Amino acid sequence: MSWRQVLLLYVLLGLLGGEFWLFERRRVERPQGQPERERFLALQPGQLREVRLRRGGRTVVTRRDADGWAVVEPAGATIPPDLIDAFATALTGAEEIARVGDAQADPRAYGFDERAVQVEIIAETGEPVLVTIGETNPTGTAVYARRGGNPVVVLIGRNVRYYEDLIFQALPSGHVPAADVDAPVGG
Amino acid sequence: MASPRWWLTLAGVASLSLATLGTPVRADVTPGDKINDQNIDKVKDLISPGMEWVIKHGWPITITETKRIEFPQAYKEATEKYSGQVKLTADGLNVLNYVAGLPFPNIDTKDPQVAMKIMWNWSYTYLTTDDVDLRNFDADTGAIADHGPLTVERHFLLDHFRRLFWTGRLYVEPKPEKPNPNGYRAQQGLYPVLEPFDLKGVGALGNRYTSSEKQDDSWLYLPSLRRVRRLSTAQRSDALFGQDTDVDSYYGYSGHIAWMDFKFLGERDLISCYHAQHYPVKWHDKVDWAFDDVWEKRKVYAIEGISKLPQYAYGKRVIFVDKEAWIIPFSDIYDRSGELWKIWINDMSFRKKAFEGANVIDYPDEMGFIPAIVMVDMQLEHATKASLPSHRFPGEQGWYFNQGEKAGITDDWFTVAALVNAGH
Repeated sequence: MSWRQVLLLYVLLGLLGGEFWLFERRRVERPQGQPERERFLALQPGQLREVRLRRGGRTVVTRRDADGWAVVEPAGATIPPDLIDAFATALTGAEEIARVGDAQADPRAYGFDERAVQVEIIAETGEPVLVTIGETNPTGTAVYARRGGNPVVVLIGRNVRYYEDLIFQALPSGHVPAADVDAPVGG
Repeated sequence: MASPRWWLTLAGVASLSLATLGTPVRADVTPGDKINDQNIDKVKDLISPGMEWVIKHGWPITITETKRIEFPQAYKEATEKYSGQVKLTADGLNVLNYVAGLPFPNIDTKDPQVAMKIMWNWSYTYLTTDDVDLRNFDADTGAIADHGPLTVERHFLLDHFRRLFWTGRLYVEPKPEKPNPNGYRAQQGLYPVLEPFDLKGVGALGNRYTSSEKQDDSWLYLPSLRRVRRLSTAQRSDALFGQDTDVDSYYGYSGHIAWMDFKFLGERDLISCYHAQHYPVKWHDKVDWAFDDVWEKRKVYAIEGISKLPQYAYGKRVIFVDKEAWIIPFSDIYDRSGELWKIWINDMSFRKKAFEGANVIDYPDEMGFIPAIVMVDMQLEHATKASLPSHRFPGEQGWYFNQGEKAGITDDWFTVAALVNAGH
């Protein structure tokens, strides 16, 4: 083998190594059976500054400060900052499982009426993003959602709806607590 | 003309009405309630989306009184003796100075490390402190019908599920720690499979280390190939043996605490099956993938767990940890799109003995027997249900807690050689 051939092999090896380092190493394989899907929102969770939720006449306004997420409205409400962060991450990370309706779709069929939740997301830059979250789908694994100004109805994961439920459940209400089981050391 | 007092009364009633309108009264249950898909609103704030799914598909719920769950005396004493010295590292990944008992009995929900402390408490639960041997149990897996039965695709019969803890031991010498040059926290084995015939001899084995820097060792033995296959930590989330279950979902969550990012989602009330009356399990007559027993209202912490491993099968878990008992009633699992995927449901029965009878072990404290588990795949409408123990072995206690060598718990059993020998 001549020195030219050896040199060529080294160059090829270097190119392959570069390709692996730059592209393959960062490629995260999805588990089998889960196809790549489009993101529902073109936002990253770290970009969010404020999240407003409105449901059934109740409003929750949360804002990110240096210490994390804080509740602005209703004043004095204690919602764990991690829960708001988990909701924001779930919503911005949501993928379009399916597109199920367009401008002709009947809004009531997807729960886009008094049952819906309006979410307003204010990012560090750009216009506020409006999202309407409707009812769960018949199989109970996802929810219908629509972006403000876009009539397309898409299915996103049920996880978003659950975290939204937990946020509203954390607000004060006529709740009957479970039996007192607060003893720190089991009985 | 109405009097000023009349107007004041009217104004008061109107104010009260307005205040009530803005504050919806939450769903609640009372003992004796029977919940099904028709009246599921009664528990809508006391269940998770996964539980909602199974109830809507026919799982029956009967509500009973909430009962206290006491720590075993030795665990309680160890908690009082040692918990004061336990520290969590700044990154939350390692528990320092742990000897035995519950590491963090006083949870402050405003603590930035609250989620990790709750999960470490679960990791050091008293369900098993020294060892456990689960014998002669079976499982069915198959498609489930809406309000109907499970069509059995595969039936499994297993000889043993065993766990041996090397630290935090309270009953069996040596305690509180076995001489431990390998740094084990625990060893675990599930073998051999006795049925179906094409999987006869198959088994799984694993080691977990106290140090979070060391990944689990996991092996799968496949007699048909005469091969022992090593599994990665992420593969612990893969469904095993054609079932819906995965090793990391056992008990509600069995993965290493350090390999997930956990978030504290809050406290809430939840129904849980902790005082099941039937042992062995009673499956519902019509919806036979659902255990037919009593549920009670409990206070829990809700925790989100997202794996740090890119190959992990699940997008996230939502894990509920009981505030008093530090156990998991059920946990929901989502895929990477956030779509609801699976639920693991524990049928638990705290009692001092499996059942009345001669030669049945009578424990000094109530132990956490688990007569059944169910894992449902909501996307495939598929489930795996396990009877622990199987009805095919009348008189079998199923669970043997902290019996050491009397129950066949020896260091040798947790070796690859023993796994292979049992498979021949």
